Amino acid sequence: MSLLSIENVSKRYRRGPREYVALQGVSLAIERGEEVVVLGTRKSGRSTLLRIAAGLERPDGGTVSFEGNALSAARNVVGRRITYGHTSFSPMQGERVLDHVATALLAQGVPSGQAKRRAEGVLSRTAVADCAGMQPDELNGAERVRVAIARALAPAPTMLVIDDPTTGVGLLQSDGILRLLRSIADEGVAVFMSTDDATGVSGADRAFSLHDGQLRCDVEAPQADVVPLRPLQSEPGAHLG
Amino acid sequence: MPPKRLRGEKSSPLAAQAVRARAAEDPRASGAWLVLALVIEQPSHGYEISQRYERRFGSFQSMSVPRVYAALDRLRDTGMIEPIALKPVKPARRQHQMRRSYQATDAGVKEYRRWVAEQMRDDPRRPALLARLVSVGVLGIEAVLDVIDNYQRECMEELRELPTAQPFEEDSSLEELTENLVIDQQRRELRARHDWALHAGQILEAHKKRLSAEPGERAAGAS
Repeated sequence: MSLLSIENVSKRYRRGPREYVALQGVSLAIERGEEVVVLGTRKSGRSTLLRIAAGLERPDGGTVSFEGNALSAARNVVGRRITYGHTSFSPMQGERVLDHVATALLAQGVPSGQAKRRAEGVLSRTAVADCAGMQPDELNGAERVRVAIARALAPAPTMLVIDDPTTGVGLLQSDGILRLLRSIADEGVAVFMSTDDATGVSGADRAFSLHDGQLRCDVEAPQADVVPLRPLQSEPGAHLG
Repeated sequence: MPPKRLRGEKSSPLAAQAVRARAAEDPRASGAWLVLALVIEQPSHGYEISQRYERRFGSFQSMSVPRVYAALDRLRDTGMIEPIALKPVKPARRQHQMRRSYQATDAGVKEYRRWVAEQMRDDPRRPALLARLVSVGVLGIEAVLDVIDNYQRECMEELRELPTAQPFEEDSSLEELTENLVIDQQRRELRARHDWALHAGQILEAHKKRLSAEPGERAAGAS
């Protein structure tokens, strides 16, 4: 049984009189400890797919299940076993980076001392321990992403979802983030991320390309299960015959 | 003289493999595939094909008239093209002034598509070459989209396999630095190739949608 299974998911948005198709017929499965990357341009549907995978949004059609149970009905999964790496910081969650990371744990009933220690631990894990006393607006792009990952790791999830962690970070600094996400997956936490930069697929177990809400290409490490590719429209040469 | 093949009769896989292998070893041999493309586009005789070759592909890779004839012989021997009725040259006075025309076999079309897909992986000139091929309308739009998809997938696969560069530290050795720079170069180049494929796919998809919306133009655009 896959950790997360997305089957034939569709999603539409309405803005005024116009309707936008964000996802159509998307299916994929993510296993424990697997790093999966969705590659897509703006408006390709990648952020919608990630929010649906993280249980933050419901699809219009299709099913999303976590360990075999419908994600919409699974209790204590969203925000605990599946976490989302938000890179925005609400002033309501405190002033310092450490407060922001600890808030999610406090909300789950973790005692404050323990929440603080765990927050320090994950900030250290993501190599931004020295940012603990800073305010979020003092962070640079890469630090902001690392803090977002720390905040998502704090509840000790089974799966971490993060949208565009390398955007605006620069290739060399984004490599450090990619290595961090790879190491998190190697420790057994499934990582599901999106990017608009093709270099973001380096080291991933699997990578998909999303165009107009549909999965178009996928590549994977040889040992992983094969997911069917888009079928050929016709036999080679038949249309020209 | 090799035995005549019927249209649609399969060429020997070994023969096709040999042609592909020659093309891989000898860049000039890839000219035979471009000649095949022109025969697929429009059945014709050697001289006319050599003229079209010069117009379409001359700026990439020139090919003399005798070489075009040699390529036609090789394609015929491997069953990728077949002779059709002799066409008289005006005024036709003698038999040697009749010109032998060729058409592609189904096997030739199939092999050609396979060759294009393979070239997309290794030929650094591939975007320009593909664009030229698309422009001559040799391939249908679905086939071109398949080739583009395949190319994008190849780029993603290569990128996925490449390691991320290690941080550039002050105490890094020159060897570590250069190794990192090579990885960095490869990734940046692959990203550019990937993004081109993405762009090409979007352009072609938009074209396909336009054709669907205008049924009258479908036949012309999709051929």
